[in-house]
Amino acid sequence: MIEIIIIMCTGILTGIFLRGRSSILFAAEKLTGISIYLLLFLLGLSVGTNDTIINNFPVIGFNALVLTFSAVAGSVILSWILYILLFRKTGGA
Amino acid sequence: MKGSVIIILFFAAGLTAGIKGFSPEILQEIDATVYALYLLMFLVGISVGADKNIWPMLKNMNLKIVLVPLSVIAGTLAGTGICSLFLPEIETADALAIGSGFGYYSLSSIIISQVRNETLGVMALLSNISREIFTLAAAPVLVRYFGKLAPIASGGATSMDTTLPIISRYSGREYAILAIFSGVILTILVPFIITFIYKVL
Repeated sequence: MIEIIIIMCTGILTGIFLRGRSSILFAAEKLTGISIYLLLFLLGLSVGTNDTIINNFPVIGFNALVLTFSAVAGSVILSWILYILLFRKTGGA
Repeated sequence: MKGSVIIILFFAAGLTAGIKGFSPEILQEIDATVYALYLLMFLVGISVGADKNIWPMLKNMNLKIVLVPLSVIAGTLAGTGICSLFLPEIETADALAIGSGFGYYSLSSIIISQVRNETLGVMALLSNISREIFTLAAAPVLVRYFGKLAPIASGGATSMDTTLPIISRYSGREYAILAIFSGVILTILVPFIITFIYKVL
């Protein structure tokens, strides 16, 4: 999985190099959309053929929502403290 | 928002095809997902590197601004970490990784399903979509009770695009810049943080 990071960093360097080449960047953006669609289609496909996931869907959904709630609660509480300490008087950036 | 709907439709189409029994073996043999993921990561990198607005933003950052995405990261990890203690079937590393999608559901679900398994990938997808939807719905309430940074924190990586209009409306336009900054930082960090969590834990 370290490959993911290396590939992304290679992409960032390539992107810096390609700055201003708008036709290539436009094509890259189109391709990004297509690969996201393809990957989510493939994820859907492997989920659809996986009986364990289909049968456990309510449990997976429940866990997902509990995690969402805890992630939001944690970050909102910390940002609230930050807001009171540094932002309330002076405003945004 | 239109993009989100299309993405969900593709997932639903795959899901339906899978349930109906359509499962071309060639896709499993060549493991198309891995290469598509590599391509996607390369392309995401390109868009970050080529974005002229990202680097000036990074140059102008100061501690006060940086603390916003940092508090989102720390708060999300603390929240999901504590939560995992009460969910016996979820390992702590998985809870942290799913939280670290910060609402960027397409990328986080794909990486997690690749690194771990599809069950967790689906959980990441559902959890991070919910984060975006919750932020869109709850922004006014969040601002009233938890201050103007709250919808930025709740929106996570989505505060730079899908949830930006609602943040700008309820927190005020001066917070929109902050929302974009926080969203950009979190979006870039999603793959790094997820990989790091699985490397360390």
